[in-house]
Amino acid sequence: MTTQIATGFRRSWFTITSLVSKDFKLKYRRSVLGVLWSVLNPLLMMLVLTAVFSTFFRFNIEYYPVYLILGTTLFSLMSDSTTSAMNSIIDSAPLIKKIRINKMIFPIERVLFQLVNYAISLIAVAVVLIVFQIPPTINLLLLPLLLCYVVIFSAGIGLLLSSLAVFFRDVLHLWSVAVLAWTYATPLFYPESILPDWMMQFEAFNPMYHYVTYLRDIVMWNTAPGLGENLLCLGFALVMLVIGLLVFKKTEKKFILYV
Amino acid sequence: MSSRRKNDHAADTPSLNKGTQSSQLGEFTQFEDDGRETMVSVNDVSMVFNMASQRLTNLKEYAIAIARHELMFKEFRALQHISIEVKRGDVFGILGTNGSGKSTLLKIIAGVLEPTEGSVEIRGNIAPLIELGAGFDFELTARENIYLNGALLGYPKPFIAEHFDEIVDFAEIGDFLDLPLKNYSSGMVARIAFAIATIIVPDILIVDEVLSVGDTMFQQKCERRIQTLISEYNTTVLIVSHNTEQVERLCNKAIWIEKSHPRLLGPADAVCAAYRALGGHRGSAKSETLIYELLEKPADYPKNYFETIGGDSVYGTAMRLFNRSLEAGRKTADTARINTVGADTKALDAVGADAVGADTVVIDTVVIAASGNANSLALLPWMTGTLNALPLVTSVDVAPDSIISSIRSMNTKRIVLLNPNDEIDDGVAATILKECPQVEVLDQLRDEGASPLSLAALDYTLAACGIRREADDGGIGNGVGESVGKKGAGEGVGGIADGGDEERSGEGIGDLVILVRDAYRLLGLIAPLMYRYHTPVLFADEEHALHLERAIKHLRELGVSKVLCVDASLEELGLSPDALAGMEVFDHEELWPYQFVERVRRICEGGEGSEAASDAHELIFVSSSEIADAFLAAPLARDRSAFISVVDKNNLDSVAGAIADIRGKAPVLPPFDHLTFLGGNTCFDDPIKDIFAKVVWAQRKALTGVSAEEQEH
Repeated sequence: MTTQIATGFRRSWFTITSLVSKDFKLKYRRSVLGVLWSVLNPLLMMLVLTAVFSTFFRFNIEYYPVYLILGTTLFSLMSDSTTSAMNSIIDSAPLIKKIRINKMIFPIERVLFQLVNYAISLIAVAVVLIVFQIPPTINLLLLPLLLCYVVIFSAGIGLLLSSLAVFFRDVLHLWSVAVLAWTYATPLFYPESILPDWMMQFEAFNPMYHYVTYLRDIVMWNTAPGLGENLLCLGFALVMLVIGLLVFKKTEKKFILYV
Repeated sequence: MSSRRKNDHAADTPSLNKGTQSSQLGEFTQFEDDGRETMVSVNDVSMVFNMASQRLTNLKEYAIAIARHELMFKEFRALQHISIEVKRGDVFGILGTNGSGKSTLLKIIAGVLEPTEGSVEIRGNIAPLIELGAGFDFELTARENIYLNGALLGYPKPFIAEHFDEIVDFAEIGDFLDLPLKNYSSGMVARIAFAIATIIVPDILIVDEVLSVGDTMFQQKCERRIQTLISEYNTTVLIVSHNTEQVERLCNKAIWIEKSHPRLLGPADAVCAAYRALGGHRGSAKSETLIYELLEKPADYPKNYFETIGGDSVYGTAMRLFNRSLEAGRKTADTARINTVGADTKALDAVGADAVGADTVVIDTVVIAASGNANSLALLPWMTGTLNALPLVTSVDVAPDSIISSIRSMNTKRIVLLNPNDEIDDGVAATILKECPQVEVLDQLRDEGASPLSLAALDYTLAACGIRREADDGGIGNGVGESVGKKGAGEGVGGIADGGDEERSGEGIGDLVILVRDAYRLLGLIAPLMYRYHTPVLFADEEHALHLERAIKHLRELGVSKVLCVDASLEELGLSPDALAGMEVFDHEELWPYQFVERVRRICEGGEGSEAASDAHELIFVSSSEIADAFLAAPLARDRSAFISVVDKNNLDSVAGAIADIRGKAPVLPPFDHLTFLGGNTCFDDPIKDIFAKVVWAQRKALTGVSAEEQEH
């Protein structure tokens, strides 16, 4: 199965990149600042959140804005890409109905497009790091590995949701609520120290907690996560991907009847 | 693209050319096996859509449906047991009305849909044109879209770059390349799409109605491109279209799918002809089976077994029938009907009569009805029969050229114009008088006031035969008959009536009168009898019941002893039983058409015990949409001893019913030597004619044992 997917991917790569570049062009067409928005957006968000949370909650976190921007951008990579992937099959209905095409292209493309956006928003992260004078370390080399985990993980969810959404449009509404709950369940704005014990036990099973912590470790705390942590992160990603793939493969033949 | 797709469970389905499906489709499927490679093989494919689950798009509905065990119950079979085989170089047409499953079949072939049952095997790559421009983004420019669409169609980037100019040239969009697609016209978009889709040289090209977009120039260009692919690269093409001309022009084979069933598979021209004739016409499953089986049966009837008499309109048909009757009359020299006078070169020219000797035939009288008014048309047979006249029709606004030339060519002296409800414009009569100088009298019959048209016609005809109706209600003098003549109004009906003697015999009219409300179709069947036996038709309605009763009383005094009520009871006709006292009343029972005709014939002939089969040896088919033809054909049918059959060719049940009638219940129909179809191309198409010819010929062969070869000798 993996070889089949691999050949399919190779054949579809040009299609995917074409679609990504289409999405990219469309996203910034007719806006004055264009790509700059991908940088400005996370920065402005960070400023708002920083203002809100440092005024009302007064968390005692060193480099709070850095802490915040690292968590929110990585989390929105996951949430944006899964939400976007979820709609991808429904959005591509005209194509799916008319030409024979590997349907997996559509959710994967959406995830990769969000990765491109994330890459741009990393500029914002860099700006914040410079402002707070946090120097880059050798541990930053682990970032691509982390992004691989997150993208695989998101692709898995995306595949699952995109196929479910074809059959049950309810998923579209449920997912936005689920993402919101997940946002608050993950220590993005607050320190994990304020979490009660039972919540901490839950966090062990929250992949996003692990991914966000991983990112903060390599960027802020200059620590390299161990092999165990890496395997755990990879494990989450692969399990999700396999589930997504299985559901997608099992249902994709029926898409055309429901989109 | 994949070269082979197959459903596991259907892997053992034998392919078409092994013959499992050929019995279903008959001889049409027996193509020559010329050893060409099979490019597309569709084996017994069925497609089932689940209607119930299609509507369930949220969890609540789904849960409810599961709870009620309603899930997966309603099935819709979009395709049923379709088998086709397309060889390399074939151009295969798929015909069918909307919703018949054509596009579903194409989607299955293109690999977009998986068939529920059966299998599809594809050899080579497919360039699908299933709805052009799928995947275009209208915000992007044409240039960007060419790359994007190419990518979606699976072309590698270098390939697109290499052929970019070619695409732009073909689509003729060089000046607008960097304009967003939303600013393009739909025709231009279609051009780009077609150019991209056909830039590769595919093994199999699928064309779904795409050639209907864009302007004519571009359509031709697309067709040329497809032709090039076919001729130079031996591409196999599948085309879906409603346009039978296009399919006929481009395709060599075709399948016609209707209501998800394969109807006909065979050479494109034969399938197209059948589709034009029967496409979209519905009927019961039984009727459809009967007709499609007949369609596939080989034709064994002799050449010239049937002929068509039809013009481009009802007027043209009327003129041709007029001329035919004239020729037939001339040949039999029916002196009772036609007066022979000295030669008239003008008449000769117009008729184009070559066999006429020194004598020229002159039709003394022509009766003209309004083409759109069935009431007036139904009066034609008996009036023309009684008056030794021929029928014509006119439009209400203007006198068609065909009737002018018919009247002129015949040296007609007297014209009777049936003018129902005063519908016919005064200009019509004026034109006829102006254009036909030889016409001496033009009598217009109207249904003014108390006297409906059929009574006016009765009065007029009786008077013309020398039988006066009692002047109790004024009769002719009441203005129902109005004479316009060049010799003055004084010399009109009266003059003619005076010419005849006053004998009150059945010589002028028959001893049967027909009462009817509006059963024109049945009247059409017996039009030849009304013509032959001078049987008056009276239209009944409550308003004029009194007049009708008086007319019947008068007829009774004239010796008319029988009444036939067609398709209505006495009460329905608004008549009291007393009105018909002393007359023999025949009801119209539920008879099948020939039985009805035979019954009326026996009533007319008087010999109730006469069991002799009809002497008819010709069958005339009239389309129910042009029922006027039946009344106009009465003289011809009389001359040729023909039965008239009225068929609604758009209704397969009606066609099947006519076939069942021909095939016979008792009394068995006589063997027909000849068939005539009336009306232009809009009435009967070739496949319908072919079907009837097959049926009637088979019946004749069964009765006489004469084969087509013997007949032709």
